[in-house]
Amino acid sequence: MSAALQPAAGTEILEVKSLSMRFGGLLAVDGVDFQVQRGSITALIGPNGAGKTTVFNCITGFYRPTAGQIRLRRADGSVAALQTLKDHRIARAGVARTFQNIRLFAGMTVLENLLIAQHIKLQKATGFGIGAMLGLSGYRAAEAEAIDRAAEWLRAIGLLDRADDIAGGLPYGAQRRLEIARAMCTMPALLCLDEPAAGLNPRESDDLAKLLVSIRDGTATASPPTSVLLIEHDMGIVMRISDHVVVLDHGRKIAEGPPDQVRNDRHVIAAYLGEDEEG
Amino acid sequence: MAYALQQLINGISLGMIYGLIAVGYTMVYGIIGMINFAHGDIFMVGAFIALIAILSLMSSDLMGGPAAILLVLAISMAFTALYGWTVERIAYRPLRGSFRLAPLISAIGMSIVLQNFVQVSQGARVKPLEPQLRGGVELMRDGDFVVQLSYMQILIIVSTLAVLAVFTWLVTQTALGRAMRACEQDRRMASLLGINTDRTISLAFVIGAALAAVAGTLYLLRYGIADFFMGFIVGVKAFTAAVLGGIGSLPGAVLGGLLIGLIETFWSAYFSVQYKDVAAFSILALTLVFLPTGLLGRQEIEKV
Repeated sequence: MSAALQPAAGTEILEVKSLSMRFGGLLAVDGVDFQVQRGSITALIGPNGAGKTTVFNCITGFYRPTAGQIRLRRADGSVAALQTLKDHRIARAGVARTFQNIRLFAGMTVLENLLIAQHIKLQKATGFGIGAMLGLSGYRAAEAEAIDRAAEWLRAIGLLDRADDIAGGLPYGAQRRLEIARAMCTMPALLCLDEPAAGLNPRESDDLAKLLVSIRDGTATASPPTSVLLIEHDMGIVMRISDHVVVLDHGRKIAEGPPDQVRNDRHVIAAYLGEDEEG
Repeated sequence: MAYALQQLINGISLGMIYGLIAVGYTMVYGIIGMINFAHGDIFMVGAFIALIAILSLMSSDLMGGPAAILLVLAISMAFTALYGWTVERIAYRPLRGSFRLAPLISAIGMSIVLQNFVQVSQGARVKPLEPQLRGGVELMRDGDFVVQLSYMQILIIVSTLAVLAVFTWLVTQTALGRAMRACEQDRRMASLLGINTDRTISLAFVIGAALAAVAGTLYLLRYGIADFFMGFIVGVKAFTAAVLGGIGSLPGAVLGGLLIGLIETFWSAYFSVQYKDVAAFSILALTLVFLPTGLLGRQEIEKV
């Protein structure tokens, strides 16, 4: 499955360049460079404390990096400098993310969770709420379209019959899938997932792997293929679905390449098995 | 019996005014977790704008009839909403992300600023307003005692229900309402999904101020007075209503408002008018001790 798409050169969607993040005296990320190719699944791996989540948080606007650049190259050729944008601007630029812990709007329904992710579009269509107030037809059409898209994703993750249930009441695995669907409803160019398989049983992990591949290939719904960047500890999934793997240790990149190559890299083995060797 | 029925009517119409204001407290608390202590003064500003509108309409001989009252309501809502927006923009937004007490202190400051601004610009005297809506429907006669549902009370009840219906629809059915509820649950996440949380918070203040303006206008028409200090006691009672109903719960705010209105009215009717405020505030103390989450509030469970 991992060989499905070998990206052509010069088609990167995300370019991270000499990214550094310092917390007080601690240099959590130290000059990391990597790229995410358009239409690929790229995995960011590394031992605990390697700086994976910090890199992620810089890309998604949670942290402002101390130094470096993060460029998102969209399909239309425009480039967004993510390190300068505020939260909601990053989502609008085309990056969606999930967290290690589930952050659904637990008190709202499954469907509402997916509609919130389409708020930007809805809001534009409704003239910032004024149209909605007057019950204009444009608003109804936009809302109907948003519900259609949500329904498509619910079908893709197998939750269509739970649309009106409260999100917080779903089983854990379903909540994880719903989070991914919600992120996809923002229609991102790049989907960032922080340990999506954490806490899933083998069957659920399997479903997740299929879902991610179908998101990459654009077969999950009518939405276009979407590049995926993920942090994951479950090496089974990483090796099976990733097109490209970036390995971090102590805040630095120690290896990158296709999964097979990375698996046999001696620096990677050293980092994971704890040999006293620094790359 | 007839007396009690009359008090019930009075209590409900007073309670609805409290409910309208309480919604503003509870909505802001729900979204940004602060008590907007200037909200009572926003109510006062709403009453003053309504008074100015009424007086200017009167001077051009346009006052009278339901259309004029609707116009006054609209003017008051529009201008008061602007005040609500401004207060948030200059006094609360710069403090977002600061320590928890900062916006609270700023709110108390804002309350004093608004009071003094109105005192200086409008004078400290109590402003009287002659009744704009006289008469009523006679419901029941018991000897000499006539149970009356005045047109004013009908106006209060009908307009409050109408405003609350629109508000409920806005919160539960529209994209804007969804965004507000999302911000209430997880503001950071809502932001990461593309929602402009600053604007959503602003809108909560605007809507809250508009509701307070309706309350202020109705209060002015009902009691015929306005002064720069009126927002304090009414505001604190509406706050009590919000706490009683469960702070953060919108239906709770309306329910709490009705209960406070009824308790206050019945207390005045059967016990002592002088102690009516004591009765209302005892409820606040009792709620905080025995039912901290209020009637419809939900338990806050901190995840560890």
